[in-house]
Formats: sequence, structure tokens, C-alpha cells
Amino acid sequence: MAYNEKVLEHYENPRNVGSFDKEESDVGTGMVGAPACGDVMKLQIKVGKDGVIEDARFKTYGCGSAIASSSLVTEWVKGKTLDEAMAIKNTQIAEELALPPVKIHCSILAEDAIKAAIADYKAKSDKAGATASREEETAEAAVCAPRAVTA
Amino acid sequence: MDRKADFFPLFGLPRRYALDETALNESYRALLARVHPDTVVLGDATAKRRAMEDAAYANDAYRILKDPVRRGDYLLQCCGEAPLGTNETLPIEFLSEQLEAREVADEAWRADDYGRLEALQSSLLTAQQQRREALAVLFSGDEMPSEIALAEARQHVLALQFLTRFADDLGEKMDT
Repeated sequence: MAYNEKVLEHYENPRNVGSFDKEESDVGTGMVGAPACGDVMKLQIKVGKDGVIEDARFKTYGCGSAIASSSLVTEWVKGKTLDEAMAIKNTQIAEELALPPVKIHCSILAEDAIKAAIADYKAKSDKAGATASREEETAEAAVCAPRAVTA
Repeated sequence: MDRKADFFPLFGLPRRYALDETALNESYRALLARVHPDTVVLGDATAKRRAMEDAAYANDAYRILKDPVRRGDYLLQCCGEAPLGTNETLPIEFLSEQLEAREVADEAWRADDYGRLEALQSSLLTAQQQRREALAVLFSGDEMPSEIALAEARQHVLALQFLTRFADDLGEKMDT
């Protein structure tokens, strides 16, 4: 099958290949796969304190279009806020890479991957927030306890 | 031939995931002998067309039942589930394992480590076997599986599809 120039360009020089430590609190990991073609895609974002995506990495095993789609998305999300990155649509990816209809599912996979990475990051930071507020409550309770004893 | 009939009774088989391949092959041959277009070379156009459609239907049914992934997909559809699509979700743990397995394959490939590739291939075969066994249990009775069982079955079929694809790619690569 003949690939479009842009697909080939990303396929031959993929940007941002690699991994971040998924345990890090500022990293969000999205993992998606397409059973029908055996593709598997891992997309990670590193988010700054201001909520802007500082960096992104991907690792994709699949066809040229799947690799190009994920490579392109990692380029696009850098410098975007989480909400902006969330708004990326597979149609934009497909259009940029001029994907043929049979390869549209590769762009959908890349969209799913970035959404999953953002969701993972948000779930992580929500959890960290919840733990922090619980600690505050315990701290308050500890302060109150001696008072109760003296009363 | 009733082309709206379930594929399983068409070949005289119970509607199960576990398959008696010998019985399927035999019924298929017998069925084709009955409906093959060659049997109506002297018939009219309607008979010829019907024979051709019947044979095409029998071929389709045979291929679907014979293929472990398509058979699972078919059974799910028989139970009212949507056919397998191109954008299905798989559990993260499974995908992480698969990504790792592909990394191992790549490394072994680069290092010309044929032993490691063969080990990976056999572990893929085992994983496929396990999925097929799980499906045989889920689709083993006459009654309709529960919704939970169907959701579980779908995951097994998807994983099997994924594993089969990986195993085929690996096999192809190793053959060349």
C-alpha cells in the first residue's frame, strides 16, 4: 500500500519516541490497542504546574499510519493545556496525514490515546488532591483532641 | 437450503465454541456436494443462481466457524452482541503486557536471538489456547450466557484476535 508523504516522513523520523516513568505524579499515560490489526499504542504526557503539557512521548507497535498518527499527536500536544489537547479530533489527524478511509481507525486510536493519557493524569492529580485534604483533616483532628481532654 | 438458519445446525453441530473440526469438515463436504453449482449445470437460470448463492453461503459459514476469532464473534452476535469493530477497548494490563512482548520481540530480532523468538512464539500459542479454553467454557451450554459472561467472552475474543495477529506477524517475520 502506498503511504502518503507526511505519513512516511513521520514513520521514518518519528518524533518523541520513548517513555516517561509512569509512576511520576506529573506524567499521564494512555494505553490503547486495536485488536483487529494488533496495534498497541502508548502515549504519555508530562504536565507542568500551570497545567500545560511540557513534553510527550509515544511508543507504538503497528502500521505506518498508527505510528505517524501518534508521532503527530505528541508534536501537537506540546505547549497545549489539557483542555486544548482534549479537543484534538481524529479527523484533524486524518486530514493532516491524508489518511485513506481504511486507515481512519489509526487516527481514532491516537485520539483515544491522548484522551486516555489526560484522563490518567487527571485521575492521578485528583487522587493526590484527595490524599492531601485528608491529611489536613487528620491534622485538624489531632489539634482538636487535646482540647477535648482538657475540657 | 435455509440461508437464514444458524451456521451451527447447517453443519449438524451444536452451538458451542468448542469445535469438532472433523465433523465440520465432513458436513461441509457433504453440504457442498449437495449445493455445488456443478450439480445444476443442466438446470435453469434460477436453479443456477440459487446453487451459487447456497454454495457461497456455505463457504462463508464454514470459514467463520473454522476461524477461532470469527467463531467467537459469531457466537457473540448470536447472543445479540454487536459485531467486533475496529475500535474496541482492551484492558490496560493486557495492552502493557503486549507492548512489552513486542519490545522483547524487537530486541530478540535485532540480536538475532532465534531461541528467544521461538520462546515468545510458544508463549503466544499458550495464551491463545487459554483464551480458546475460556471461550469453550463460556459457550458450553444450550442456554444463553449471562450478560457478565458475554462481556467476559467479548474480552477473550478481542484478546484472541490481538494475540493471533501478533503471532501471525511474528511467524511471517521468522519465516522470511
